[in-house]
Amino acid sequence: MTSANPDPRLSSHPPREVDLAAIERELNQLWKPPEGDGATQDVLVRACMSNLIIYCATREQARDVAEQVPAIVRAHPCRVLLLTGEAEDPEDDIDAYVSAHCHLVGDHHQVCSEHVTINASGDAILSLPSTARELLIGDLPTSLWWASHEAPSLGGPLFTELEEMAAQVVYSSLTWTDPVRGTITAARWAAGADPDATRIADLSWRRLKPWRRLISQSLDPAVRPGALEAIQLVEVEHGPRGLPQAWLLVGWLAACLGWRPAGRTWARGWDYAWRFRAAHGPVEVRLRRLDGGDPEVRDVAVSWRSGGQSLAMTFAMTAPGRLAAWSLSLEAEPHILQAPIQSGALLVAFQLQDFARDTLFFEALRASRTMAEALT
Amino acid sequence: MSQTSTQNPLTVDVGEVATAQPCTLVIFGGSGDLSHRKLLPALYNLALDGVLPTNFAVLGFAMDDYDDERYRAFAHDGVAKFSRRPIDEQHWLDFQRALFYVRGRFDDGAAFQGLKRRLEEIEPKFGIPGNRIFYLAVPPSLIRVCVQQLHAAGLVNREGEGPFTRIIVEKPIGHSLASAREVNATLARVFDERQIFRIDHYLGKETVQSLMVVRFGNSIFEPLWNQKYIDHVQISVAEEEGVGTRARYYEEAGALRDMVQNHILQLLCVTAMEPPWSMNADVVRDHKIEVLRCLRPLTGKDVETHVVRAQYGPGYHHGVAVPGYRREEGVKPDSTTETYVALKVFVDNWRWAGVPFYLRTGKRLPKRASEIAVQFKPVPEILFNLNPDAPLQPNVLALRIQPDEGLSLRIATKRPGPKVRIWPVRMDFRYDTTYGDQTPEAYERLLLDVMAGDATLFMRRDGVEASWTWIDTILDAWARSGARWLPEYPAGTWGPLEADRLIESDHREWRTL
Repeated sequence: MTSANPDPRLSSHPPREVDLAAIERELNQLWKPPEGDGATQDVLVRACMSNLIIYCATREQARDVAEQVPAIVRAHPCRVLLLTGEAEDPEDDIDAYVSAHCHLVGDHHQVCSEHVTINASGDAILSLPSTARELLIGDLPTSLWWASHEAPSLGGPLFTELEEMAAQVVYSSLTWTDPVRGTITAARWAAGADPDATRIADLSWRRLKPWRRLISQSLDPAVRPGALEAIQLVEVEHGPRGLPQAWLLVGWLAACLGWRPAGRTWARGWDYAWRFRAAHGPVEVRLRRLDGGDPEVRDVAVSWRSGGQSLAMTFAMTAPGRLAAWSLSLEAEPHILQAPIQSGALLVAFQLQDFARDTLFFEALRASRTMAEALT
Repeated sequence: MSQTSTQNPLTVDVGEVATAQPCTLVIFGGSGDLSHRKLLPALYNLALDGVLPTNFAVLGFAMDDYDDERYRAFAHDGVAKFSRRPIDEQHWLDFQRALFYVRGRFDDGAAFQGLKRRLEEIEPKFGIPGNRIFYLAVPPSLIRVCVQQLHAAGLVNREGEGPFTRIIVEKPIGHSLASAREVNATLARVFDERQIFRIDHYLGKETVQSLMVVRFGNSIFEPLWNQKYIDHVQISVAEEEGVGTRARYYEEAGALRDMVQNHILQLLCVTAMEPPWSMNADVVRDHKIEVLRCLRPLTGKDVETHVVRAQYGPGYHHGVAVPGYRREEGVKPDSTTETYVALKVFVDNWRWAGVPFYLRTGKRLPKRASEIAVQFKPVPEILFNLNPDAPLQPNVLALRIQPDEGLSLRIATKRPGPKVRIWPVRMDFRYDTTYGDQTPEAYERLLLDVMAGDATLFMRRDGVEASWTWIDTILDAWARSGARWLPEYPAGTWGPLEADRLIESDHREWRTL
C-alpha cells in the first residue's frame, strides 16, 4: 500500500490516477481502513493545517517539487495541490493523481497529508485555477508556492487567478532565470499588492535570516561601538543566480541603517558596484558572482573606520550549517552561528506557518529594485 | 522588554525569538546534575538552532577537580545522554570552544577573584562586552554565600550601570515565608529586582504558555471562563518515580513545598488570572499575583477538610515491587513527610466565586502526567439530558502539560442511527502530530529569555512571598496537628481513599490521567 522511503518513519501512498471529477471521493478512499491480513495496526490521522497550491511551469520542475512534498507535509501537514501548466505542449490535456504522505508519530500514530497532482497542457492550463478552487478545504488558510523559474509577477492571468485564492504567495528568487527583470517586476508587484490581502515571501530572504543574525550580533553597538554608523564598504560574493539575494542583503542594511541610493559606480574586479549616502558619508557596495557551487550569498565583508583605524569583518559560510564571522584586527576567536541546513522543503514548510507581514522584506526589496534598475 | 542601552537597528525582526544579548553564562554548580542533564543540553540545542548570541561563553564554577578539557568532556556526556537531539560532532566542536571551567569553593574569596580574572580573559577573546549571567544551580543554603562573594569580588554591576549582570535562582526559594523573605532580602541587597530571575521550569513548558494563547487568543473560551459556566477545575501533577536519591531534600520539603508552592500554584495562576493588558513582564506577573492574593486561606479546621496528605506505601512500579516511602534509603522510618497532597481551594473573586479548584500531586502514582482540566457545568436536565440515570457528560477542556502535550475538548455528539443516542467524543490536538516532535525543552526557552532580559516567565519577589504566605498556613496547621502517621496509598495507585472522598463529597471525581 505504501512506497518505501529512505526515512523509515516516512511513507507515501503511490500516486493513483483519478478522474478529475472524482478527486475528493478518491481522497476519502485513502482514509478507509485497509482490509485483510496486511492491515496496519497504526492509527491513521489526517492532519491539515492549511492548503498549499504549488505551481510549476514544466513537468520536470514538478518532479523536483514532488520529491520535496513529503518533507513539507511532515513539518507542516497540509493539503497539497501540485499544479503543472506545460505551456510548451500545445495539446489540450489534463490529468489528476491522488496520493498521501504519512509519518509515524510515537509508535502507532500515522499522521497523513493529502497530495493532489494535476498536470495540464494546451488550453487546459486555463482550467487549473478553477480545479484548484474546487479542492481547497474551507476555513483553512491557503498559500501559493510559485515554483516556476520566472518571477510570479511575470505569470500573467494564471498567476493572478491563483494569487486571489491565497493569503500568501511564496517564491524563491534564487531560481529565477532573469534576476534583473524578476527583481524589478516583483518589487513593483509587491509595492502595489494589498498588504491585508496577500502576504509575499521570498525564500531567499528567509535563507538570509542567519546571515542577518550574525551580522547584526557581530556589529552590535555593545560589541563594536560605532561600527554601524561608520560603514564605508560592503562587499558581497554570491553563487550563480544569487544576485537577487545579494541585493536583498544589501537592501536590508540600507533599510535598517538609513542609507539612500546614490547611483551605480565601478570597482575593479567586481561585477557591479553602487553608491549609497549615509548620515556619516558615502557607502560603497560591491557584488561579485562566483561561477560554481551554491547559488546563494557566500561571503560578506564589511569595512568601517574607527578612531582613525580601518577595521573589517568577514562573514562566510565556512562549512555546511556553519556561519562564521571574524576579523584579523579584532578578537582572536571567530563568532560562529550554527545555521541549521534547511532544505527547500523545510523552508517552504516554515514559511507556510508564518503569515506575519514582513515590512523589512518590502523595504529590502524596494532597495533591490533601485539597484536592479540601475543596470537596465 | 530587552534592556540594551544602545539600540542596534539591525536587530529589528531578525528572528521570532527574543533577541539574546552577548554574554557569559557562569554556572555555579556547573559540574552538578542540573547542568549535566538540563542546562548544558539546553544550551547545546539553542546553539544548534542558531539562536544563542554569537558572542557567548559558558563558565562552569564548582568544587570538582575539573579543568576546561574535563569540563568539556562532562558537558559532552550530558549532551550525548540528555539532549533532545543527537549530538553532532562537528557542531559540538564549535560549541565546546566556548566552554570553560573554574574550580573553587563558594565561600572562598580568592576563588571568586580567580573567576573574575578568567572572565576578563575570556570576554575580550569572544567579543563579549562584559554582560554576565550567574546561574545559581546550587542548594538553597549556598545562595547567601554566593551572592555575598559575587558582590565582594566586584562581579555585580547595578542595573543600568555598564554591562548587565543577571542572576538566576532555582527553586525552592526558601522553606517557608520567613526563609523565602530571607533569601529575597539577601538577593535584594546586591541585585535590583529586574536583575533577578527566579526560575520555575514549569512556566517554560509549551503547554503552559499555550494556555495563555488558548484563553486570550480565542474568542470562544474567555466568555465562558468564569463561575457562570465552569463547574470546577482540576490541576494534577503526577510523578511515577519515588523519592529516589533526593531523600535528604525531600524529607525536609514534602509534596506541598516541592510541587504545590511553586509549580501547581503557578499553573493555577495562569488558569485563573484576569486578562493582562499587555505581555510586559510586570503586567503579566501583577495579574498572576492577584490570583494568589484572592486564594481563600486555609486555616485550622479548613486544612483538615480541604487538604489531604499521604505517603506511598509498598506497591508496584512497571510490575516490579517497590518499597514504601518510609523504607526508602535516607528516609526516617517514622517520617511524616507527605509524598501526596490533594487540596480543594477557592479563588475568592468575582470571576471564580464558588468554583472549586482541585489540586493534586504525588509520587509513585501510576504514570507521569500533568494536566489542567476545566470542567464546564452540565446542560439543563431537559431535551437530551432527561435521564437522571445516564446524565450527559459535561464538556471538559483538558490541557496536557506532559507527556503528549496538547489539549482536548470533550463534547456530546449524536451517534448515527434512527434513535437519538448521545456519545461523548474527544476533539484532540497534539503538539507532536501538528507541529512535529521537536518541542524545545523548558530550559531552552527560559535561558534565552534571561539572555534577552525578559522576565515574563519568571517569578517576582512578591509572587514568591504571596504563595508562601498561603502555603504557610497549611504548614502551620500540620505542625500543630502533631500527626505521627499519614494515610498510605499503595505505590502505583492514584492516591489515598481520603483524596477520593475529598472530591466525591462534592459529587465530583478525579479525572483518570
